[in-house]
Amino acid sequence: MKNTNKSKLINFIIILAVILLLIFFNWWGWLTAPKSLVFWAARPVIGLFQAIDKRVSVPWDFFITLKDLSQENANLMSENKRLFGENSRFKETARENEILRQQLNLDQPAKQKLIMASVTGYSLTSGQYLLINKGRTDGVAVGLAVVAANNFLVGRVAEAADNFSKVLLVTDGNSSVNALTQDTRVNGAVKGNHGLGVTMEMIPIDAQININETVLSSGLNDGVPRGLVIGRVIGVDKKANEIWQSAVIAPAAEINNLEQVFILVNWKEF
Amino acid sequence: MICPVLRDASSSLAKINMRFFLLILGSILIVSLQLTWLPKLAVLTITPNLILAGVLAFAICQKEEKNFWWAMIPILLFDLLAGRPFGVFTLSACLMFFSLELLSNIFFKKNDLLALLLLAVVGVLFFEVYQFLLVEVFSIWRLIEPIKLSVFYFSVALPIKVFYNGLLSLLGLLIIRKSQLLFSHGQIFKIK
Repeated sequence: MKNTNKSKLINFIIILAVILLLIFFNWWGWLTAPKSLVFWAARPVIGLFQAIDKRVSVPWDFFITLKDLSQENANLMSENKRLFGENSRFKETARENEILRQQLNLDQPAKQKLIMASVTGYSLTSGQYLLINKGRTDGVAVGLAVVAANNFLVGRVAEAADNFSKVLLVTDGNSSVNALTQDTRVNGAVKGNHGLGVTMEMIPIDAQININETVLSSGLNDGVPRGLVIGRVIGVDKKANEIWQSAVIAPAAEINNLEQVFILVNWKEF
Repeated sequence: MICPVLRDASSSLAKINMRFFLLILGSILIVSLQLTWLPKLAVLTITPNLILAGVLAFAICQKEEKNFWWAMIPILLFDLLAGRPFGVFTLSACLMFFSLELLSNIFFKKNDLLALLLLAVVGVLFFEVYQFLLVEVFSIWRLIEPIKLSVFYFSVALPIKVFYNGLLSLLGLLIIRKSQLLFSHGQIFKIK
């Protein structure tokens, strides 16, 4: 019995030493190759599971939303007409803006360089992360903004291995992005709320925010350019005896159903 | 002519290699499942953790000898792929395994359902406590933000985690027991 306990203790100490050694290796970046190897080995299996999931979930989701389909269709039609008119106006404004820039000899705005990546998995065990199939060899670096289509902010790169990266989602409690409201130009910090939603905090109590107003990134964070769409204000929490108020934001990106994302690599403010 | 001792040695080496290969394959399958399908079962963003449940089941099963090195493979694969920062999950799982084994040897001699249930609950709590402490340590070096202990965590997140992982670990235990015949003469553990 004593011998068994002694051997268990020795085993425990050896295992602990090995783990600490691995943590030390990771600290120095020596585990990049094993990480890439594991991702390379798991990638086909992950792909297979995703393909099966797609085959099952697409008909299932269709079946679930079937009863609301006609109403949703009507809503989308009216939204489409509104956006068509808005888009035509914006096109005219953009043209005017371009002509004015030429006349005033202003620099043309730099175009964003995007890297397209596929979402290979979600890790929700210790924080809200998603795994993407692009890494350092593709030009991905820690801190870069990750967006869905239409410049909807998804999160920021938290860790980049050679062939994959981990993206910290905006809904994570550790995520903080400086933001401003589009119409009222009120500044604040957008923080995740246990993965359940997003809250805009540090808003001065006397500031006026409108419901349904769009919230954009203010560009004060490194790696996150100005003007990325974070979400829309759906509620305001204002208490008379406090100096700050907060706003509940509905994220613009459908974070749980992402298949492709874009990493903003080369952007310049103008 | 091959010496019988050498032949036996090479045969047992081949068996171990085969087992190792199967374990790696199984671990990759489990890790992939954890990253793709399990998030779909999330309740208020809390997902069941297959790897944690597996280690928990392995820790509470009544065996004479357990080789934790075999459990290390899926844990390490998961941590390498999805852990952040690397080491928190592995260390928490390892500490949880040994604490639970010690606890089960001291306090839970009887192998009844209530004891197993209690062990599963205590195991998840051990894991959460170790994870919290390790994140606090890692946050000193700014590798991760410290966990904010909120009302939501205690009243919603923790009970769901205990329920999900405890249930999965009991299921894992059932699978281990059903597969006793398969592994009883192997390297992973010996049946009492």
